[in-house]
Amino acid sequence: MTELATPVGAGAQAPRAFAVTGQRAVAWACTVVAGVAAVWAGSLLGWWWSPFACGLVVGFAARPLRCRRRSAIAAAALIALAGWGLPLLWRVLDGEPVGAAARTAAALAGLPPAPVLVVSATMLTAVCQSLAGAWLGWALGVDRPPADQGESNAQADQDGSTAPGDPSEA
Amino acid sequence: MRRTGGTARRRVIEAVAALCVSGALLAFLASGLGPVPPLGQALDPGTGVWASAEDAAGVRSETLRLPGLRGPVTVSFSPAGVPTVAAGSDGDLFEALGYTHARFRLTQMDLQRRLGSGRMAELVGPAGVESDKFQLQLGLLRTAEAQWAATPHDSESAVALLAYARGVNAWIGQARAAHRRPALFSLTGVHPADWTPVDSLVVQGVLTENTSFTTGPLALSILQRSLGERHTREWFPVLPPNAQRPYDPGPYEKAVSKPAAAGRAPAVRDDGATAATADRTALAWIAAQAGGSAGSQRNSNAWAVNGPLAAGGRAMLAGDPHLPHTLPSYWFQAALRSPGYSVTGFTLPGMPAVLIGRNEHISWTVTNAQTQSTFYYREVTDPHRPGEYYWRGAWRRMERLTYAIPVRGGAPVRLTVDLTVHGPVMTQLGQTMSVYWTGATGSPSLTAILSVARARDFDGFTAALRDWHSPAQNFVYADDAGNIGAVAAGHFPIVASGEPWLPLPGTGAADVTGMVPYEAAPRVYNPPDHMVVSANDRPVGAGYPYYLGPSTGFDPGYRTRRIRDYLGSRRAMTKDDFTALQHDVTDGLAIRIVPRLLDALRDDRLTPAEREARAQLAAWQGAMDPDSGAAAVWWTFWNAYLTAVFQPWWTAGKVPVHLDPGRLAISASQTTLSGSLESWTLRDQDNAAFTPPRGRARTAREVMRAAFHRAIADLSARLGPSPQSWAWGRVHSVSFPSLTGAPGLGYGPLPAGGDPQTVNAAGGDMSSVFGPSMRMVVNWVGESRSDDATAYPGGQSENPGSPWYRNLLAEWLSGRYRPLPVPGAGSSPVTWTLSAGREDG
Repeated sequence: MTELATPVGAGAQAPRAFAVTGQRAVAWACTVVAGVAAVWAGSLLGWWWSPFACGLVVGFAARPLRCRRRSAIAAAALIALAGWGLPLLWRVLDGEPVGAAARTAAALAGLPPAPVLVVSATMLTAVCQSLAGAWLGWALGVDRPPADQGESNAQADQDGSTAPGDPSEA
Repeated sequence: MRRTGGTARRRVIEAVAALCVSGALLAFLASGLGPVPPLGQALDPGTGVWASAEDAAGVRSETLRLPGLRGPVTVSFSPAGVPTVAAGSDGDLFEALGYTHARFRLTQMDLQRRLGSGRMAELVGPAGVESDKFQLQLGLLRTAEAQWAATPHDSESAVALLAYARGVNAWIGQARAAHRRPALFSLTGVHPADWTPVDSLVVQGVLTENTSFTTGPLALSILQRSLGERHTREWFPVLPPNAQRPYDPGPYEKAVSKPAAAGRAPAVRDDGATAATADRTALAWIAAQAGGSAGSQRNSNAWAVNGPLAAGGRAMLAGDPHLPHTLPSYWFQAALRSPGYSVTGFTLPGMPAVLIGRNEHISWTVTNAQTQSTFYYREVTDPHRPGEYYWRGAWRRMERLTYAIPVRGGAPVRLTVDLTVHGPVMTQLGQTMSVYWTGATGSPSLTAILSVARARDFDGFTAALRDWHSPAQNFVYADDAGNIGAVAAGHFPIVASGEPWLPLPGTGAADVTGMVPYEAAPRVYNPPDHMVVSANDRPVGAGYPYYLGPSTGFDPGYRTRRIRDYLGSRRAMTKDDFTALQHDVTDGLAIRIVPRLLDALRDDRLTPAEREARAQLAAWQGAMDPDSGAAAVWWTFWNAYLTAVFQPWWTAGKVPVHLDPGRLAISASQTTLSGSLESWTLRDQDNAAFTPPRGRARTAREVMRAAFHRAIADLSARLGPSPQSWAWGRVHSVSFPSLTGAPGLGYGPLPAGGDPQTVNAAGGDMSSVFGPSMRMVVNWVGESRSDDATAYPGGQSENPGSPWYRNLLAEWLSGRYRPLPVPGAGSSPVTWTLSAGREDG
């Protein structure tokens, strides 16, 4: 679902760390793809809040999985952008006059009839939802208890996430 | 411990903050804030405004299931988007038409019914409340509900209305399920409710209101108080001040009179001050809500010729009803074929009928009759008898209705409407003013127009129109047997006594006691000069025995004169002659007045620019072409001339122009003033009106000179010092605003020719947004055979992204025509096949 944190010992070797990083990237990418699919499907059902829901899940899962905060934020933002951007792109590829629809919406909203305004507003709406969801999820998330303090410290050193009880957590 | 506690506290604070921000964001996205719509739903790429792109992508062949169909129906589209509907039963035909209308015009239909039903504020918020109050007062919804309740549900019109509503709802259901709503609804989050027969009757009522509801009597009353009775009667007479050529010149039957019984009225508070306050209050309120200058636009044309005037010797008809320009256009073109109907022409989205067009044998078009349909009554009330009014010798209790107006983003607004026997009370400041309007009495117009669509000759045509009560229209006719005719169909109220062009006493003495008998309505059939012309002018001569309305309501007849002159100067006309006349921009008033102006300027001292302008006028033939400098000089002169003559009187009388500029300001749109000034200039150049109050004596010649100097100075300031660079199109334009009012979705402004007095009319001010809503020519070349042409400013789709949004506008602007679609004709590459079953979606 979200970026998986692989337990790494304090004395981990460089090749192992590299392998772990690769696994984490794959997991992160899978999370994004799944999130995009979920948001896209949600949009087809009229679930306009699906970027928020996905962001919430990403944020909530990040902590126990020891994901870095900025990685969770990046995932949430990307899910939102792609989850709402790809359906629009799909419409364009299908021959639908998306620009004209955007111009119409802008004009009806009393804005200058510039498609970029509505496209930007759409993306912003998705991203704001997703980031708000991720923030809330992060704030509500529970840290996984470390196997030992060393593991915890090593994890914190490696990816910048905060160990439980670390007062430096922003 | 302290560190752990601090962290926990910070985490709680962060969680609370995140919760608050998330909650606020979701609430904002779900509900909007103030003018900002609910953006979450609106911008959802699958179901929000983006879904409108799907319908904008163009129509493709589909197989669809609609509930209630009895058999298969096909809807075939021409490349321009005009559908031909073919059905096995009349009910199926109207259901398919309803479905087609909804697919292409749901926003227009919903806006029209919201307007008439007083539910605009539900869509647009507090800005719509005043309009809703006015409409609920006026009572289109009450009228529609009463009319539907009185309609036998097995009648032809009821069957059509029910089937039509089924078709509309089939699309609303599909759109709801597939989230394919028009952008306006996606953006606002206010979605169209299911369609009902009452909604169709409300749409009919809105059309009736637009064409027949007027503030005329209130404006005349205010003018009379300001200018004095003598001047008002002279300058705004009941009969036209200039020479006219009505289509029904008589002779006429003697009038049937029905005196009304009226009781003795009590002493009432009716001093001039309270009456004036009442007039001003009512005019300001109604003019503001009814779109300003209600009912003052009049520019439709219709004519027909037969015999030697028509090539082939049969009959030919032309029509171009004028309405506000909008995108999409008011009309929706369609051809319909079923066992009961074979008709093609122009439908009004929201109504199951072709209002203007032809069937296999007859063709028809309309112009607004301009007869008086609105009568204001000063009710007698007593502060000690609240909620009562005095009528026919007794105090009566007003009927009181209450409404709750839903308001988007706000609390519902409560409205109370009082009804007297005359109609709804519109205002109560000064006096209680109620209004009798024929549009509020209900009209089986749909029954009439459905019968017209099946008529085979003039007898059938006129028999069908007996049921047409409002809005009163001149129906002009031509058939495949070579006959032509016209009839003014509608209710023409007979008032028992008084001066109905002013507000009337509500005591009962001046009530509407009946209607002009249909047999006595203006009518003509196969006239000896082989032409019928109607252009909103008075359809009868001075000897007509019934009151039809004051001259202020009618067109002064310049267009009729021009059309008659054109038709009378030709023989064996073809379709091209008619289309050329529809684009004629010759100002008939200019042709008569300019020689007098040139004569007045003959011995005047002129500047070089004035001499050049005079030379242009001398060489000019009266054509208001966009590149004509003389046209700009003429129109500027004529308005300056009107102002020079009348403004001193307006200033001295303190005419409150701001209350309703369209009816109270001095301009060429005040056609009766134009008619009076024309008449004096041609025949009475010493008329006392030329001499301002307490001023030195003036003649027309002197005022014309002054107006000419002023016009040239005005044009020099606006267009530069050299008249050679002047052009009518530099000061006169035409625009096609979006029906929604969104600025970016309209078209124009474009330099334009014509003026309100030309056949190709451009109504309104210098930025015209009023003119031919369509053009049609039907040339009958044989039995059941016609050679047709139509032009149409806009397109069939209301979706601005659609290729059919304004695809026909360029043709309309350039004067090109297309044939009318033929009912049941051939196949089309794009066809919907509709069949019975549960609706798709």
